[in-house]
Amino acid sequence: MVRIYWHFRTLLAWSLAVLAFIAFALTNPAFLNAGNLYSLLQSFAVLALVATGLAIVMIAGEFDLSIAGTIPLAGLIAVKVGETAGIPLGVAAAIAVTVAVGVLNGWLTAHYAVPSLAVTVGTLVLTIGLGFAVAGGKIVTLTDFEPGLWLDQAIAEIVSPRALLHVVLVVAAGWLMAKTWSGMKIRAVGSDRQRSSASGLPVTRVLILAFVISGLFAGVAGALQGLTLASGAPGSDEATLLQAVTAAIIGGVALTGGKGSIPGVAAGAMLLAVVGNGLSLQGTSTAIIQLINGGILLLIVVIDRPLNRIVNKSVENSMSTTQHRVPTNH
Amino acid sequence: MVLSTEVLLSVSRISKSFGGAKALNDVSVDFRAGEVHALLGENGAGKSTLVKVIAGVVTADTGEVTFPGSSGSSDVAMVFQELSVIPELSVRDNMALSMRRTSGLLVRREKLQERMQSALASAGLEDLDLDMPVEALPLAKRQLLEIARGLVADARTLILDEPTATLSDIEISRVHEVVRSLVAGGRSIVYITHRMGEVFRLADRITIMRSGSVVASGPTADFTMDSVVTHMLGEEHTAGEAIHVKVNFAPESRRKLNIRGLASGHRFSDVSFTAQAGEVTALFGQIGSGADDVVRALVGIIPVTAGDIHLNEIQLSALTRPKSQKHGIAYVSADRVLEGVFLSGSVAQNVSSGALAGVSQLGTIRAELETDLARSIASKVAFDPSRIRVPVGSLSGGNQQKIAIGRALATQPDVLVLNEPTRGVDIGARAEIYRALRQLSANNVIVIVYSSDIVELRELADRVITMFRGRPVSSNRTTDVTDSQILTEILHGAKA
Amino acid sequence: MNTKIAARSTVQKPSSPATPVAETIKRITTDSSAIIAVTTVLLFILACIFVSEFATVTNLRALFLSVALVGIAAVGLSIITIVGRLFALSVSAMVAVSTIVFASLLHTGPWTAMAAAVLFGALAGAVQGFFVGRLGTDPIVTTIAAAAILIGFAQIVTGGRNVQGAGDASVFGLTIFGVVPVQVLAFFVLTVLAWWTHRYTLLGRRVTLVGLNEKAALVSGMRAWPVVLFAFIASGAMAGLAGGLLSSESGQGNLQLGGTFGFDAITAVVVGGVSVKGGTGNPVGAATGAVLVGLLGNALVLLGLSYEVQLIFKGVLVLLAVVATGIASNRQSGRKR
Repeated sequence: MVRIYWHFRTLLAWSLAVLAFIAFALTNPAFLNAGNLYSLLQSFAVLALVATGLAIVMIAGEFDLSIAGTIPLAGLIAVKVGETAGIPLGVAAAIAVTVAVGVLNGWLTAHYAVPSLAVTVGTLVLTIGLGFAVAGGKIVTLTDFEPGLWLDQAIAEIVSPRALLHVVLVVAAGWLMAKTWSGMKIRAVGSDRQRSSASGLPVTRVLILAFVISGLFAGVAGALQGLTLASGAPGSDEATLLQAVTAAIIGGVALTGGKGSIPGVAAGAMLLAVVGNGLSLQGTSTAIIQLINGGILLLIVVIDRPLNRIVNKSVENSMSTTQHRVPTNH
Repeated sequence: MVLSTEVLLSVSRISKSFGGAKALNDVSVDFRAGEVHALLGENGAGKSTLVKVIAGVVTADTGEVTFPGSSGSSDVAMVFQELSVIPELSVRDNMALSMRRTSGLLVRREKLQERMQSALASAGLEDLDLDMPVEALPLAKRQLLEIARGLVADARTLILDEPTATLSDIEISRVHEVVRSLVAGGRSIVYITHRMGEVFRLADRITIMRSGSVVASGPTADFTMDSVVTHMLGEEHTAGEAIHVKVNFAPESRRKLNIRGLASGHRFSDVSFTAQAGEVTALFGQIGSGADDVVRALVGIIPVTAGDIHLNEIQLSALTRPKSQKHGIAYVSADRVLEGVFLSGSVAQNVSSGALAGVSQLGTIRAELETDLARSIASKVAFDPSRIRVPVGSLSGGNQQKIAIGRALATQPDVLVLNEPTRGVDIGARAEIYRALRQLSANNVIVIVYSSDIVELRELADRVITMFRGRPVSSNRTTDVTDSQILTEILHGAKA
Repeated sequence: MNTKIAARSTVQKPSSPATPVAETIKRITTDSSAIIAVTTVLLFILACIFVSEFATVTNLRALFLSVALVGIAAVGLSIITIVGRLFALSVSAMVAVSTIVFASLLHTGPWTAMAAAVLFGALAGAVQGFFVGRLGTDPIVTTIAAAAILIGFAQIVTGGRNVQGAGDASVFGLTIFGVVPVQVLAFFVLTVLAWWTHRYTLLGRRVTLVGLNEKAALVSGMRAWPVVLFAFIASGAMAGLAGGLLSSESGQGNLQLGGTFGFDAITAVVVGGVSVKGGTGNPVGAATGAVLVGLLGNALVLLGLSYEVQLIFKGVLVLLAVVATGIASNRQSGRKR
């Protein structure tokens, strides 16, 4: 019965993803083409990685808007620096910058006890500006297509090294959250920051870690994407932010913190990837797909709390006790 | 019970002041291995401060805390009254956090399992599913978990601060078994409690504090229940004189609040009384007695599951906070910082906050009306009217509480309900607040109070309804009962 | 040594004695709105003196035009911040879609088109306000979703194309006394209205109280959701107005016109000393913030600094302002950081 509490949302999300997959496969034979599955997995992998990073910040009780800026910025840096100083250095530079942004986000939020929302608006604008600065008003391109091609080659027809790398990182993050002290501390801080602090947990360090992971993952996704596109464009990637939040919340992550698991987030990403892929295959315009994404998010946000309450109630009832219920204001 | 001589924890001449107030005054106590040592005292006696000094949370001004334990292991573990478990983590993970050594990357859940299970079993939680999320546990189990967390820290001295406040009888005996077995194993237990029965059943030694000093200390056999109560309240303690104010209304217009058979789920049941203007009614009981919940139910913060409430013949049903306010019931909550006042707002803004319609014309707030209201309320609660522009956050606790009460008064209520009206308030402000409340009562406002402070009861209330474990014990005029009787009723549940 | 199991100290620290002079100084330095206003005026003077081309009619006119529209959006947004719901991230989308609404209805006459834009904004805001206020959903996520839905609908309706309004919107291009553009007048009037409402009306006071301490407001029997709903409706209406005015300049409406309104408005609110924790600050602060940020941006451009430097600058400004108001708010409520 307790399993329900921990796994319900994850199971629900995976069920929905599988159902959506089957539905699209049945209604459109082209859905199961190797080429389509490849592109499905590509978009899934990128979304899963970015959503996982954001989810970890959300589990810590905060939010990271800046990923809408760091993803394009990472692409720009990887391409620009990669063009002049070599790809590995380009990628390293991109990731170093996004990680630094994460450190800044985490430190400002924790040290000054200000809402991360306001802080990450600032870093978002900052990173968009940095992106424009890196681009320098020109279109930034990479003349060496090889790394990009290599990253996106199809292995067994449907998966690419880039997607695999993303998935490996997601799995690593899942392991971090489930099996390490750091993961437990992140969850504790997100669940009840005051009590965690009173128990001696290093709240500032924990928050910085969460934002660093978010920055790192956004950086990896952005940098590799830049390489495969062999170009970079400044601006803000709000579409990915929207999808990442949706995937996280579908997967059971709550904005209040302390809840949710990485497998759930991956399920949310898969669901969105399947829906997006299936719809576009049928010729649905991106406008409508975005509309649907927004609608899904709104729906999820409305049913999230009642859903949690139902899960909690059933777990409470499963305990054979007739003791006091917890008073509402403790 | 053999009284041992090995001292594990020694408190020597500790003094501590906060601001101008002396919280601890030259306190010396020894805690010995193999003993349960009860620490008694009324609210504000200094028990919590002493324990915080021992735990190292607060630094004393003078004196020292030493651990002359022979084994060298001088840890002390505290189990606080305020729960420190993290709601969305599992039992297992909460325990693991207490057992954490700072190094190591991975949580070796299997390795920690054995120690966890034994600690949980010792606390009476052997059947608990380790993967249960704490937020799904009822409060009683959370408290036991809190104890288990203290146990697993493996210290020689354990301080338990009101560990049985909300527990049932079965759970309490479990805790007592745990305590006895720990003590048999050579540990020292410092046991803070208000429950007299527990003290005499469990403790080997008793130390009683009053006003920051130790007033008595010795083996339990040297005390009786009466002598303990006397020490707690003080020889010179005269029942606080209730201030008498002349009634200011015609008897026919006296407001009355009738409660019949009121119940709220597991919190309390079968509560019936009549509160009326001209006398202050108090609900009195410890945490878990349901007395504070009755007061919350009256204002609509917690739901009523049975019974009626009639205010001046009008039945109030399905109360919510906005609804009860509309019916003329104003509320002053126990936590003024969190929900009593707007710290960044001025006194005048706070006072008008619940009665905005009364200080405005055509939808605009008139500064003169607001100032007038603030001044008149200030005079009612003995607050300096020249300070109404000051931000409330910069006021003393006593003044903040006066403003919290002023907010409620500004709504011109028929009923004023207060939850712990002078918690954390200095003596001077207390007297002023009591006078204000009495005056209010004399002006045909029904005043109902929840308190856990017997001195407050004496000085403020005309009628007291004692409660124990969710049920009313007795209802008396305060002049008809002694302090001992009242304490016995709330600590034991039996009519004295 | 003791194990490190800490406890929350419940002892209240006594407050420092407050002399009248100390209190006044404290109040001025913690009144961020005052600081921002003073800073803005100072910078304006400095710019006039030191930045060439700044104090010219053409420059000032362009400056005030752009500041006015952002300012209108910021003033509306600030009410959401003051009531404690942080920000609406849907401002850019609402402005963009409002331009489409205006342009599409321009053929019915400029005033009806403008009314439609404002009404649209108010309705869109009301829906968001219902979710956030009554259903208690997170404001950030709700407004992100709302933005996506709005853009999605608009894209479907317009096919992503520009909408050319068929009518004469030049009435909104007029200048009063030949100097002050209508937009600026609207900005000024709305700012004064918002300031007055916030400072003197029942509704404004309720907004402040809910933002300061929602629990305390509820304890005295107030209902929070109508106030939150109002904040979103007001913000939406302002965004609609900004969009309508923007569209009136060219008679066109399209999704790109939303531009950076959202972030500019947020920057203005934060820089203007409105605390993101809610309760403190006044819409006038947001207006001043809009002027300050616009002013700085303009000066930077005139000094030869590029667009990206402006953005970086704005980002840093937001961070500094957030930290500053965070410190001030922590101090005011007596909390040690």
